[in-house]
Amino acid sequence: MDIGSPESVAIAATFGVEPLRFRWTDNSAIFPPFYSGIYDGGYALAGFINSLQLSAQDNLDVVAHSHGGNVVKIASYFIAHPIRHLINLGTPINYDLPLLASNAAFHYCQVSSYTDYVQFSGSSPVQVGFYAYFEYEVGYYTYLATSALFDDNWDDFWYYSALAASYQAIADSWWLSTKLALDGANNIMFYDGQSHADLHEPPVWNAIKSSCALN
Amino acid sequence: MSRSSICFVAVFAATTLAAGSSRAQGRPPGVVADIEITVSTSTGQTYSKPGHYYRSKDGRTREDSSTGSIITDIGSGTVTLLNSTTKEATVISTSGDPRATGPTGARGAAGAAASQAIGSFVPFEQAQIEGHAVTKARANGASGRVQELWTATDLGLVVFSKVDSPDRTMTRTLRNVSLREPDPTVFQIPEGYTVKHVTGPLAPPGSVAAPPSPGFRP
Repeated sequence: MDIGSPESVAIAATFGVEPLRFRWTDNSAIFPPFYSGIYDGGYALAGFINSLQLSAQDNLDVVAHSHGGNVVKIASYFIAHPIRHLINLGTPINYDLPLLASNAAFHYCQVSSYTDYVQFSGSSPVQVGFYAYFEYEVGYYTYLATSALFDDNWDDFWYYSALAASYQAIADSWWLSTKLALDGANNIMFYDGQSHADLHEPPVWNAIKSSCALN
Repeated sequence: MSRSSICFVAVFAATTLAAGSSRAQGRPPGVVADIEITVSTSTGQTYSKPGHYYRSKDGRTREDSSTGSIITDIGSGTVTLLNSTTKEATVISTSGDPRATGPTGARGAAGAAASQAIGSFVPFEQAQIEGHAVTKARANGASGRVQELWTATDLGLVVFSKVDSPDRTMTRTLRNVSLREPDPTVFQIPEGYTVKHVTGPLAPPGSVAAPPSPGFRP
């Protein structure tokens, strides 16, 4: 997010002040098993925020992009000042990474797009793996149901169709697990095909302001 | 007329079904339809995602959703997963999968567990919609899960399914059902896709079967 970008302008208009930018420097090291860039970024962000020497009367609002939200979650264990508003845009909900520290933020919004594949792929191997596994199960039992149908075997057709439907529900749960935060967030989901990049643009920002208590 | 029946009439309202059509023995007709999948959570949130369904007379199916596509082919014995974001196709051969026996045949422990989890389907209503016989059946499975399947028996088509779990309900509804052979290209892997061939079954990455409840807030 650059100074003067549409998103920056929208955020500044909301909070009445130009946002301070923090770039975590090794955002290429975001992969399992160590996610070292994210952890290092968290420690660095905590140091950056603590260096601001905020007073009790100061408000700290944080807007994070993608894995930046996981950087904030790690920093939350080391920040000496509570966060008033935390807005995580497209942050992968990754079961390998820590939840937000308890009571770290008064208002916490997790904003996701259902079709955002980048967010999905940033989650843990278990989540991605189970989604793929159950999608195959859906396909496999659909295949068996079709075979049974062509053999006029209705008992098997219903049984396999039921399994396919059941596994589709489970696969959907694993897909959603990468987007729905478990640590007390107000989860906001977009279903209009927004991309990962779209979540960082003013239309999304303006759409979430009311739900995230930013008005 | 019950609410469920009204919803179902709407499913067939825009169809191009031939009057009095019936399928030949062992040869279900080709089908093209829209899909609507709706999920309702225990906290009152509801969302829907659209999709498409295709079935050919030679036993190929394709289901599209906003998260990808699944193509099955009983002729080649394959399940193909398409990822439109990464332009990847994973073609999984089912020949190595040992589960090709149904509830009426001998099954191993895994099959018995799945059967117990779903329960037995008991028909609870027969309906006639647009000249097609629809059988509605329900199964009460383990852990409080209830499933419903509505099947147009002459078409061999599940036109509505519902999976009711303690924390969410998922429904899948076919709309705008058209009895015609789909364009054969829908069953082909699109150009430009990277194709990977594997032999099934795929192994799960762990022992956890379902993610924890997301704690969705209204």
